[in-house]
Amino acid sequence: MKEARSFQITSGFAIPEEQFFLLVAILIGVYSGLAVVCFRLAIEWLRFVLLGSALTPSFPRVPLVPVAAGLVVAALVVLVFPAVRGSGVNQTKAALYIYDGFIAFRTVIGKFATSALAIGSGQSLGPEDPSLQIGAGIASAMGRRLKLSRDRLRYIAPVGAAAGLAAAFNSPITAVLFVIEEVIGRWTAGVLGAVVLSAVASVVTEQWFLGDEPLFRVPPYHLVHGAELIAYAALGLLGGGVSLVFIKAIAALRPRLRALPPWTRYLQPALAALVVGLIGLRFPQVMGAGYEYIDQAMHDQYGWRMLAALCALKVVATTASFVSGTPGGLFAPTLFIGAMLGGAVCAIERLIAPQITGPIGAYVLVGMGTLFAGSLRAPMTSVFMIVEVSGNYSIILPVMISNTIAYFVSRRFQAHSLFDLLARQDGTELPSMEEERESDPQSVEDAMRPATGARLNGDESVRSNVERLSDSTADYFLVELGAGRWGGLSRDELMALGSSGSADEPLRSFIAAIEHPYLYPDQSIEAALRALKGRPFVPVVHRADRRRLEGVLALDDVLRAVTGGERIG
Amino acid sequence: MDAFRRRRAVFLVVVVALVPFFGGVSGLVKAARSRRQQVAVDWGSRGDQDAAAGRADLAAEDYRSAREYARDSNAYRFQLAQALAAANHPNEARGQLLALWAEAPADGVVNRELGRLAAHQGDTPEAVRFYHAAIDGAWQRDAPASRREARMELARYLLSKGEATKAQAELIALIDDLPPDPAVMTDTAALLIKAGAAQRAMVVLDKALALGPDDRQALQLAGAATFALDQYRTAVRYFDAAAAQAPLDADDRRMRDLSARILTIDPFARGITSRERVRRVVGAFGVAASSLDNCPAASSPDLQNRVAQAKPRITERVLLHDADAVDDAIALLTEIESATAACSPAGPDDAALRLVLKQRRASS
Repeated sequence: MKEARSFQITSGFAIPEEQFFLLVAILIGVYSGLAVVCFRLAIEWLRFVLLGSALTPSFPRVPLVPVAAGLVVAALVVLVFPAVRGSGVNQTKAALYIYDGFIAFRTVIGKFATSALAIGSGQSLGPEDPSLQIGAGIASAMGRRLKLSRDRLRYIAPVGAAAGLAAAFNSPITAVLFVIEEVIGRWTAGVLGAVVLSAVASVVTEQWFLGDEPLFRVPPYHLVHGAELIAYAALGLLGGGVSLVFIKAIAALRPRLRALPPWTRYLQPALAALVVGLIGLRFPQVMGAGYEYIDQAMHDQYGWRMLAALCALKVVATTASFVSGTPGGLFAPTLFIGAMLGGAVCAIERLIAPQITGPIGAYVLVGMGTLFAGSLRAPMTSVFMIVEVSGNYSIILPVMISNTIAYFVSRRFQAHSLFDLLARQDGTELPSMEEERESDPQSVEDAMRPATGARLNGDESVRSNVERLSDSTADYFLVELGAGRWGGLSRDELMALGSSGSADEPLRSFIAAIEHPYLYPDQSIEAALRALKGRPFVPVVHRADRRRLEGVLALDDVLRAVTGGERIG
Repeated sequence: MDAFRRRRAVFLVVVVALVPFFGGVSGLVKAARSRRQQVAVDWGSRGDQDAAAGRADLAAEDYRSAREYARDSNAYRFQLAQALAAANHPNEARGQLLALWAEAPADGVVNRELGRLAAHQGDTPEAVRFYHAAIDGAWQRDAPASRREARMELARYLLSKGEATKAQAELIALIDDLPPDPAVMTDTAALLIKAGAAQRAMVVLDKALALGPDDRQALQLAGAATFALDQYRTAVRYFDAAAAQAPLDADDRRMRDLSARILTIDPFARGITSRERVRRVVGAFGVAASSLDNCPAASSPDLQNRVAQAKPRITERVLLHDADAVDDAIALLTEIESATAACSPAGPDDAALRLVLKQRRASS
């Protein structure tokens, strides 16, 4: 494919590819917003048609309808849309890292239809992950049709993913952070601009149609007493534990079900629906995404026993739905489980120490973030999501405490995050953003050597510098030029200067024009390699005082550090 | 060049296609919104029916469903809260009301409901806080009447909790702003009497009776207020005026009879002859002695001896000629009544005599 470098609007006017990419990002946002609005309407309509308008569906509609819908979903997934199984986040990552931004539009249609049917019929799954993938798929299709350059095309899927997620959550910051933290893994200015624009465009479009009402109406929050933070810490511990149970249940059951004979795939979603439906007869709250019940928990509608039961049963129901291969996401169920756990902790605390217990809404919110941090292991997103959803900055303290504890508990006992785990189970080696965040990249400091014996003084004459060479076997020398500048020349060059008629001239007058680039100890090995191009070595100087030579770096040093990891100096 | 043109064409298609896409989604959203509104109305109606039939639990479920389809509607949330409160789920009701309160902290109706819930749960400080917020809050309809009602409701609650002084303070704040409505005035007066502010109740009742001199309710309350103020003659007059319209209830009848009895036995009454006063002292002594006989727990041997010794001397003939003997008789009378105060009155005369002596003590 020929790479286009600009977009020609008229014969005499074109805009650079970079700016065109931003324009496309806005269009992706608008289309994704529209698609997500349709997706939500589809889920709502299907729920209305299949389960009726009552919040509590009646028997025998439950469990018969979810089971029947499960059979239809299974048939669609197996026969028509096999690519819709699995996590939308991982498929977006695969598009970025493996398929040059390609996501088949058929997958978008399939994800839309099957997820809407599954969630609308009461499967315990959420609409955010499918929304994310729908956005990514729309972006991919648009990028291909507009023949974006390969580089841009690769990043187009995350741009669409951010748009889809932003519309689903009605929260652009959360979406941008999640995509950066979990999909792209780095803050690249060009991509960040596009991701932000698409997310904002998507949310604006979604709000145009559905209004700007937040996902939850959050009661006012205030910390009643400093000791309340102990309860939030306990919530973090419990949240980490529940996250572990949730991840390990999926990790254990999913491969087992996938290993069953292929014909069972026609039945697995229906059996999962039966499990969900049977639970739903007594606890209809576990069916579907469950946002309305999070809202109820937030407004103190349940006692602690009910909250604890809903937390446990949602883990069971969601695990059943997800491992059965039913398309749908884990975001909403994760938030539901966390919300109920947070509510239960608050309700119990209220029994024990009512004087220091704050409003339950705060605990529900923090619980949501806790499970998000523990299960999906996106700690930054989990914090900012709660702040954005609640619109209350003061809740950040308990959120940070609880989320951090949950995150570390989860990490301590579970090596991989849920998304990494799913990717590994699917046999796809996608880069783990968590591992990348944790990795300690080598820097110049790790590779450089001390600067002894390879240093000349530019203020001294060529002759005296030549005399100084007698003790050195080095082939290349750094020359201190004063005022924090450094130069360099080879032994041969210096000897040639010494034998010329200019031996009494200061060395600096010959080498000022061949100044070296500098490196700083904290710079990356990659930067060092770029600086070393064509040079035997490069001075490493102090950032605050460039006259202070910290060391020198040669290609050999870099290779030794990378292969052996040996620290010199 | 063709590639550029093709790319531009695709871009134009993408942009132009937004128009029908927007149109289509608008139509879908409109249809969904309309269906949602209809469903919400249906569930709301069901909720109203269930609430009216006393099926509060079902009504709560109905309103919950209605609210799910009309999330902007605070009316359904409020009805849900009321249904939950009626179904004896005060915490859940409170949660819903607090959600409304968070959006409109000055809303009088919401604050009043929160006050009611707190009162129901016996949380007096919170009840007082929310009722006061309701009294100072914004009301969409007839704010003065709503505020007054909220204050009276608070006063009733405080009275039920035995907080008569606090209730009095709430009611006194009402007096100056009462509308010229006898019903409102009598309600306020009734509460003032219960709160022990009979004098202020009479101020209100005078106004009510000026508006409707034959207002039976006001007459009865005026009787009760004047009875509490030891104005027994006036009390009898008010009670009789009320009784002229319809029979008095048992309590009012008791007060009326007691007042009448006091008027006939009170030895300290002004404007009576010496003979009559002596006759009343003798009669009162007989009542007190009989009360002492019926209250063995209170009768010490010393008191009984003194009563037995005094009895022959407390006769009309003796007392008419010995003013000191009258004073001695009254002193003994007072002592007997103090001793027998722990026992219930032996009869209407004994009850009347106790009130007379209480009034006498208060005035001295």
